[in-house]
Amino acid sequence: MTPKGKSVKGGNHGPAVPRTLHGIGASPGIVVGRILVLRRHTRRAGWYHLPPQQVELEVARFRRAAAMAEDELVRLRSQFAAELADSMSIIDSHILMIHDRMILDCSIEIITEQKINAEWALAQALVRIKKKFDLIADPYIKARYNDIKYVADRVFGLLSGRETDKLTAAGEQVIVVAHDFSPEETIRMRSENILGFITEKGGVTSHTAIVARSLGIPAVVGIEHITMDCASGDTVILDGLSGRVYLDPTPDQRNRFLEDEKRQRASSEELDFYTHLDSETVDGHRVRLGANIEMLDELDSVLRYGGEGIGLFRSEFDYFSRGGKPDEEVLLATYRQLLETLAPMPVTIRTLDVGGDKFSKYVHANGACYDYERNPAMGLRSIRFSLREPALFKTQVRAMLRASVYGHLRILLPMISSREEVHRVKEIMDCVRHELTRADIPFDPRVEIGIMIEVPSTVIMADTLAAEVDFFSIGTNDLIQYSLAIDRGNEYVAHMYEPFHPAVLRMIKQTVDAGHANGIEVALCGEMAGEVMTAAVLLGLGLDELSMRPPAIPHVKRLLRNSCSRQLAELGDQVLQCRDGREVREFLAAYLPWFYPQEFGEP
Amino acid sequence: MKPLEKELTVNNPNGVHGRVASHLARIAGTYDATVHLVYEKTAIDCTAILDVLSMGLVYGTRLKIRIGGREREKAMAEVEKLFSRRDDP
Repeated sequence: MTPKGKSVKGGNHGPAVPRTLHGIGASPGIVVGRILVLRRHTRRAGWYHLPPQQVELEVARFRRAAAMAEDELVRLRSQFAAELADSMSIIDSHILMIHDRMILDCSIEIITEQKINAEWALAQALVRIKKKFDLIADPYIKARYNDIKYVADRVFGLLSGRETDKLTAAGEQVIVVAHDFSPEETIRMRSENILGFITEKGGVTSHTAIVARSLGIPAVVGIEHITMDCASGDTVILDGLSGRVYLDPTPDQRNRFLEDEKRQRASSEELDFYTHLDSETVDGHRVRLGANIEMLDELDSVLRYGGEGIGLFRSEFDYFSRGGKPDEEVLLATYRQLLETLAPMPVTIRTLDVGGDKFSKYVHANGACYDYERNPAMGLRSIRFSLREPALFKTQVRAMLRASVYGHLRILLPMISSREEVHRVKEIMDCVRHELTRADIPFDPRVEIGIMIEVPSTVIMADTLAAEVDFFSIGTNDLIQYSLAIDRGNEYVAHMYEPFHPAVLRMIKQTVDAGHANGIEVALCGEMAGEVMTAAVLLGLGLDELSMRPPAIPHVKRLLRNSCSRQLAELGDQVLQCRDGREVREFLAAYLPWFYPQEFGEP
Repeated sequence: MKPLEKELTVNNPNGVHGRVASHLARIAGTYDATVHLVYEKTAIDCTAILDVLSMGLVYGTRLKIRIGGREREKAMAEVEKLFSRRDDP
């Protein structure tokens, strides 16, 4: 791969128009920088027939390239070995692939039999492998063909005399954009000071994404045509959490993100120091800081950033990562690993939180097939879907209860809108407990059951609901959308999405008060928990737990440790007096720097 | 010397994917033994990772492992351990 013609300095297409592109957040982190577009250099050595006397030489040339490719991988592996177990086993499998019969022997056979050059032979060998993999039904295993491509590309590159492919240009830190990156290229990004990367291909489970997460390189994948839509030198903001990419951002957007970035970088070393300190105020008021995750791969980062358990485990991944719906054993394996790894810290697992449409493929227990919905946000989703498909739900509940003996489990029910739903879930749970008891399968009888507070009706009824459950968890992302009637994905109204809307703040306060009056904990697990400015307000509103993406934990912990409970309560009182979102922001802009100069600059 | 044969089930929720297949190949390479995987009437040599992968062995698949050679028992023990695991090696 080589940089595309243009130099990295200076954008190149007319007046820049800010654009937002949506991809898949593969590895969290926000970075701002110039783009370097990398194109796979199809430096065609050409495909040609060989004179008979050259066949031997060609085979030797191919063997040499394969051996060199292997050497490269072995060397890469040795540089990192200890710290990155996941990444290493991926490289190990690539090493094996290089001298696999289907690549090595097969290519050599084709060279000798057809008397053609090595590049052509390898391409043919790949086609044969591809045919075999196309027959595999399981999407996870099928996707491993990508790994074979990476390995073959490496050999292609060496055959055609590629120069060492530099990822950086002129020493400037860049955000690299390409059709795809191999896991090995991703590993190298760390030593080459790449800020982050964007690709056209890929998903959350690709090996490239796994490596990016383990190295902490922000990445967005799956943006089609991105290599066409931007050019080297363009400025871009990459948000690896939301999967959003802002091309040619406005000066405002840019400054805001740059400031965040600067602040984060300046404090990242200091933040490491906070990882293992208690999360409490100077006067000893404790607030639990948990992690939001959706995959087992992320457990490492929970521990690395000092998460005190998991405040939100999104359980959907097991349902979509492979062909059919997962059976109880698969779910149990996931839940058990979560609980065992973090015990005795609490692990909050949210039951399936998706729309029925996503299941049309394989939920046919009663012959039902779910149609397209005109308004899915208010349709058959989350707990409503689970209650409509009790067999599916029971399997998940059984797996959770069986896992409960391995640690501290809390079950979280999403999108509850009435007391009746809680009762129906409890009936199902009782039924499952009964079955388990009868089958002599152990489970923890004290598993806590909580509900998400994300539909406004539950805020209003929070005092009643608090008597029914063991904890509340406020899901602000949806609560804001439902209460302000704003679809964040709608470009015309997205700007009206306002976490500091006094209605939102009062709802949070009301929920906290109702919970505490009934002696239950109130947690909050929306994006608001992971931003220092909103987190300060939330601490002021008296939440017992904030749960956020793992890298945000040390930031919020430092904020908490620099607070005292009286001052937080005062902050909470003050924001509740404000009449609109702007007043809240103005108040905070004036107030926060006095108490948190590190986070918000000297007043 | 008669080869050992055993019927096993894939317990890894993601099936026999890259890391599982490469661990299998490593076992086959470590011991003085030839390890074959028999599935749907095809026997494949486990040192060939792509052959193993391209079988598309998903969670719950029943298959047969056949091991010959001097250290076949040790190798079989390792293979059994690998297939009984739910997590990635």
